[in-house]
Amino acid sequence: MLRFLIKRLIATLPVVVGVAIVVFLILRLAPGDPAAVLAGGTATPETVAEIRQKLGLDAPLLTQFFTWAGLVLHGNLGTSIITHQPVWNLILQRAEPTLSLGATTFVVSIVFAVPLGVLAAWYHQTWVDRVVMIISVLGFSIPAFVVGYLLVYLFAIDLKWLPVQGFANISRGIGPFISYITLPTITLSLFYGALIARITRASILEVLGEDYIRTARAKGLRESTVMTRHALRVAAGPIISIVGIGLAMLISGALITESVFNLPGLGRLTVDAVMSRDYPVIQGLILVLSLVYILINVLVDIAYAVVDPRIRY
Amino acid sequence: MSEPVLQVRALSVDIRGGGDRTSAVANVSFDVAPGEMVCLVGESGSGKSVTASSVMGLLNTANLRLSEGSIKLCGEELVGASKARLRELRGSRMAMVFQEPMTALNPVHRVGDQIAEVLRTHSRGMTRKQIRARVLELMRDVYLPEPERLQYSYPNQLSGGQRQRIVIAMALALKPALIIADEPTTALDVTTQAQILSLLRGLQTRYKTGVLFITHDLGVVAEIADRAIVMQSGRIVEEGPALEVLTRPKHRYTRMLLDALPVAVARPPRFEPDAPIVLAVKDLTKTYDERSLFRKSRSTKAVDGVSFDLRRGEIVGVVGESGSGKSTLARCIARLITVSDGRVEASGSDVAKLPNRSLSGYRRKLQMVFQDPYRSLNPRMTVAQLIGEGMANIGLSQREANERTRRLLDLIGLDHSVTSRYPHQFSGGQRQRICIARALAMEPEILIADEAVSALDVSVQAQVLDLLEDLRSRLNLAVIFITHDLRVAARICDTVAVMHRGKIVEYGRAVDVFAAPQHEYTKQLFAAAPGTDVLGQMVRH
Amino acid sequence: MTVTTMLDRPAAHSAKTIWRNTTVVIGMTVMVSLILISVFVPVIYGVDPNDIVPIQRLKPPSVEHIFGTDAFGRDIAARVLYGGRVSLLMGALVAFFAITVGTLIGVISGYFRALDQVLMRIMDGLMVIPGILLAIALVAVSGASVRTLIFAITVPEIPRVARLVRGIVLSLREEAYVEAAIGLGTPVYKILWRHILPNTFGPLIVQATYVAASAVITEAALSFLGAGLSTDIPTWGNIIAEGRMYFRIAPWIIAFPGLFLAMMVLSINLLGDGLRDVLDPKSSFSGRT
Repeated sequence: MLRFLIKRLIATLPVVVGVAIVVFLILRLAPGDPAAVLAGGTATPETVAEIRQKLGLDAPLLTQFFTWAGLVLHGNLGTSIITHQPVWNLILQRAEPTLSLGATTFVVSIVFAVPLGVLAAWYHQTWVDRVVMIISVLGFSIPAFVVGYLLVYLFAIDLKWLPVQGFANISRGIGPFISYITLPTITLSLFYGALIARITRASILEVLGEDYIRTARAKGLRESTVMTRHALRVAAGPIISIVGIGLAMLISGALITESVFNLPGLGRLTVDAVMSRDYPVIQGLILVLSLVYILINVLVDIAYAVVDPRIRY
Repeated sequence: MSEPVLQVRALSVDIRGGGDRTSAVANVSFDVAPGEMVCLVGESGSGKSVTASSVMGLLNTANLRLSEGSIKLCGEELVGASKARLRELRGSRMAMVFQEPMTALNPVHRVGDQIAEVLRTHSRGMTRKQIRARVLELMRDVYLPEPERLQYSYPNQLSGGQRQRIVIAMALALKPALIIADEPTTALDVTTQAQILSLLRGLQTRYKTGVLFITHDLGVVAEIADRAIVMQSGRIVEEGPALEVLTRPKHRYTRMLLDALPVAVARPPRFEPDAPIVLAVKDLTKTYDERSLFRKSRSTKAVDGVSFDLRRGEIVGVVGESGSGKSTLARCIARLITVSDGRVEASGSDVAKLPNRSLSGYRRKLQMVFQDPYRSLNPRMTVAQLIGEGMANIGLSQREANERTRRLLDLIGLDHSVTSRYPHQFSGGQRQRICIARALAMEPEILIADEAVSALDVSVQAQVLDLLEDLRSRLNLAVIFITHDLRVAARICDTVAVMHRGKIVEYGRAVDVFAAPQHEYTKQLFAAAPGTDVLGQMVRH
Repeated sequence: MTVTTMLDRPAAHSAKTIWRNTTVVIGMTVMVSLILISVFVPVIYGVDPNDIVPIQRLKPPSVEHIFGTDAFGRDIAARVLYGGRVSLLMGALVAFFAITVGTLIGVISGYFRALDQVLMRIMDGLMVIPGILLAIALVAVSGASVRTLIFAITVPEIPRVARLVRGIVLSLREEAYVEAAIGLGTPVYKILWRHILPNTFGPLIVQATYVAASAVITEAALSFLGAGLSTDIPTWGNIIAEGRMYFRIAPWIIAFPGLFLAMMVLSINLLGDGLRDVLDPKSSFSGRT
C-alpha cells in the first residue's frame, strides 16, 4: 500500500511540472504584451518597461522559469501587485468558504446522485430512467449563475426562507452555517450531481452486460442484490475515478457559484484579481488549485485500488 | 425411468423483429432424467443456448420472446411461473455453468464469498460456520488445491480451469436437480478441458444430478454424453443414445457434421521433399521486458529459440495451447512485431532485423490470415476495396486489380457481384474466404494462417480447410498453419511443430508425430483431446 | 449469444436512424431556431441593442419592450437576441478548433509511441487546471477580444478531445484489420486515413456538441466574472453580469438572457446525447470525462 502511494505520488511529478510550465507560459507566450496589458491602456512606455522589469519579463525565458520555479518551490508564490500581500496568505484567508462549499456539494451530490444513477440503470428505458436523465441534462445545461439567481429569487426573496447572499463561518454555529450554505450547495450540486448520476448510470449499464451479472442472476439473487452487491460494486471504480476527474469542474463551478452568492472565497479572490489584473494572484490561484486537484486525484486512485482488487498495489 | 428432472415440451422462442428468421427455437421437446448427461449439439445459430436460457428463465427479452411450450422442472411448470419463484429455483434446484470462466465470476468479490452467496441466498437456516464449512467442502469436491487459502483469492488470481471449478462448485452448492452447462469447456485448453469434463462426469454421478450439456464439439459428446440431441436452425433433427447418434447417424445434418469433423489421423506429406526452402527460421526469440521503477526488470520469453524450415508447397502446423507462443511466433515471422533475436531468412536475406520501411518486398511475399473473420475486415470497406487494398499498395492499376479480384473471387467460390458489398453482409465462412482472397491478391509465396478456422463452425471449417488445401496444390503455396486444434492440424498439415512455453518440443512429419508422439507434453496433449477413442473407432469402421 | 450476433448488423448510420431519435429532433429544432433568430435579428427585430434611453430605465416587460429594459434604458430583447450571436460564434469556432487540434494531437500520440509520453504529459498538465481559471488567466494577460476569447476557451477543451481520439487510435491499432493492413504493406498515412480516422467521426461529432455547449457556458461565465467582452457587444453573460446589481428590483434583466442561455446549452446537449445514442452507443460517458 505504501509502495503504491509512493509510486502514485512520483507519477504525479511530471504532471506537476507540466502545470508549472503551463502556468508559467501563459504569462509569457499568450498573444499580446502582458506588461502592456497589466499597465493598462493609458500607461507610458516607461511604466510598461518598469512593470516588465518588475515581473522579470526582460530576462531570457529559461532563466525566468527557473527563478520563478525556485521561488515557488520555497513556498513563495509572489506578492500581489495591488495589496502587496503575499499571494499564499491571500489564498489561505479565502480558502474556508470555498472548502466548505466544495465539501457540502461533494457530499450532497454523491448522496443523491449515486442512488438516482443506479435507479436509472435498473429501470433502463422506462420513465424512471427518462426522468433522471432529463434532470441530469438540465443540471448540466443550466449554468450555475442562472440556477443560482433563480433559487435566490424563489427561496430568499419570494419565500424568504433563507438568506439571500453571504457566508457564515462554521464557528458561528451550525445553524447559520447551514442557512447560508444551503442555496450555494444546491446550485452547485445540481451541476456536479448531474455528472455523477450520468456516470453512475452509464457505468452500471456497462457492467450489467457482463457475464458475471448473468452468473449472479443464475444464482437466484434478488435484483436489488444484483444491482448493488454485484453491479454497483464493480462500477464503483470507474465512478470514483470520474468523480475525481469531475472535481476540476466542481472547482470551476465553485468559483462562479461563490460569485453569485457573494461568498468571500477563492472565487471572489479570482474575480477581484481579474478586475485589477493582479497577475501574481491569478498565477498563484491556478497553481494551488491545480495542485489540490492533483492531490485529490491521488486519493481517488487510492480509493479505486481499495474498491477494486484487480489493481495491484 | 423415474420422473424426469427436466421436461421440455413444444418450446418455441421468437426473435423480435427478426428478418429472415422469426424463431430462434421452434417446437423443441426433450427430457433429462435424474443422473443423466444429455448433450445438446449444434452449430452457432442452432438455438441450443437459447433453449438453455429459456429453462433458466434468463432469456434476453430485448430481442427474444418465449412464445409457447412448457418447461417442467421436477414436475413444476416454469413457463408463466412468477419471477420470485423462478429466483428461488435458480441456484437451488437448477444451476448453470457458463462458457467463459474468465468473465463469469465477479472480479471484486473473493471466490469463497461468491460460493457462499448461493448458500446465504437460498438456505436461511445455515449459520456462518456451516456456510464456511460447506464452501470448503465444495472446493475440495471440485479438487481445488488448498481451499483454506484459495477461498480468499480474487478471480483474477486464478487460472481459467480453477475459475471454472469455482463456477461448478457454485452450481453444485445446493445439490440442484438440474445443471445446465453451456459450452463450459470451449474456452479452455485441451488438457484443462479433459480435467473439467471428467470432474463434471464424476460429480454428476455422485450427486445424481441431471445435466443438460450444450456443446458444438462432437468430440466432447463422444467423451461424456449419455444421450445426444442434435439441433439445427432451432429444431431438433436427431435424438438418441450418444454412441448410436455418433456411430449410426440417421439425419443428413448429423452425418454432415460427422463427416466435416477432421479426424486425428494424419496423412503423409504431399510436397516435394527437395522443394526449395522459401523461409528459414533460425533461433527466433521474442522477449517482452517488463520495466519497473522499483523492481528489477523482468523479461519473459514468449518465443524461445525456435527454428524450422519451410519448403515450397509445404503446410507446416504449429500446434500448441494458449500461451504457448504460437501466435507471437506468427507475428514475428510476419514482422507485425519486432524480433528480439534470431534470423528469419527469405530469398537469401534476413528480414528479422529490417526496419519497417524496408519490408515492402517481404510483405508481398508473405501474407497472413487472422483468427477472427469478424474483426479482420474493416467494416467500412467494400469487398472490392478490401481485396484491392494490397494491390494498390504495390502499384497495380485499377483495371489490373479488378481483373485479379474477379479471378480471386472465382478461386474462393464467391460470385462477382459481391464486390460492392460490405463485410457484415457475409457469414463467418464467407468472410474468411474474403480474407484469404485479400492475402492471395499479393500473390505471396508464403501464407500464415493464424487460427484461421478456429472461430468457424465445424461444417464451415471443413470447407475453408478444403479451400486452403486446394489453393496450396494449385498455387504451390507454402503455409504456416497455427492452431490449437489437433484434429484440424492432422487433417491439413504435412509437418507439425508442437509448441510449449515458447519452445518447439517436437517437430516432424505429421504422420510420425500423430502416430507415435515422442515428447511427454505431446503425449499429454494427444491424450487430452476429447472423444479420441470413440471417434477414432468410427474412422476404422 | 448466437442469435444476437446474427441480428447485430453494424448500424448503418443513415440520416434516417438519426432522425428517428426524438432527443435529436428536439435539440436540433431548438438549436436551429436560436441560430436563425441570431443570424436574422437585424431583419426581424429592428431595435439597436446599444440605444441608451435614460427615461426608459429598468422598465419591466411590456408591449413596447417585451423583455423590459436595463439600467441604461436599453432594450433587453434586442440585447439578448444580439447576444446569441457571440455565443453561437464561440460555440461553433471553439468546437471546430478544439476538435481539429485535439484530433491531430490524439492521432499523433496514439500512433507514434515516441511522441506519446511528451504530448500526454502536456495534456495532463492542461487538464488538471480548472478550465475557467485557465481561460481567465489567458484573457487577463491578452485582454478580452473575440480572438483571445476563442483561444482561451479552446485551450482547456483540447486535452479531452486529444485523449478521446488517442484512446480510439490505441484500441484500433490492436484491431485485426489494422494489422491486416500493415501486413498488406499499407503506408502509415493511409492506415490512419482509411482505417483509423473514420472510426473517430461518430465519437467526435458527439464530442463536438459537448465542446460547443461547454464553450457557450464558459464564454458566458467569463463575461459574468468580468473577464469577457466589453458591454458594447452584448453577450448573455455580460447582460446578466450587468443585471446583478438590480437583481431585486429588475429580475428580468437576468431572467431572459439566462433563459436563452439555458435553452441554447440544453438544445446542444440534447442533440449531443441523442447523437451519442445513435452514433456511439458504447462510450456513453466518454463525452464528459
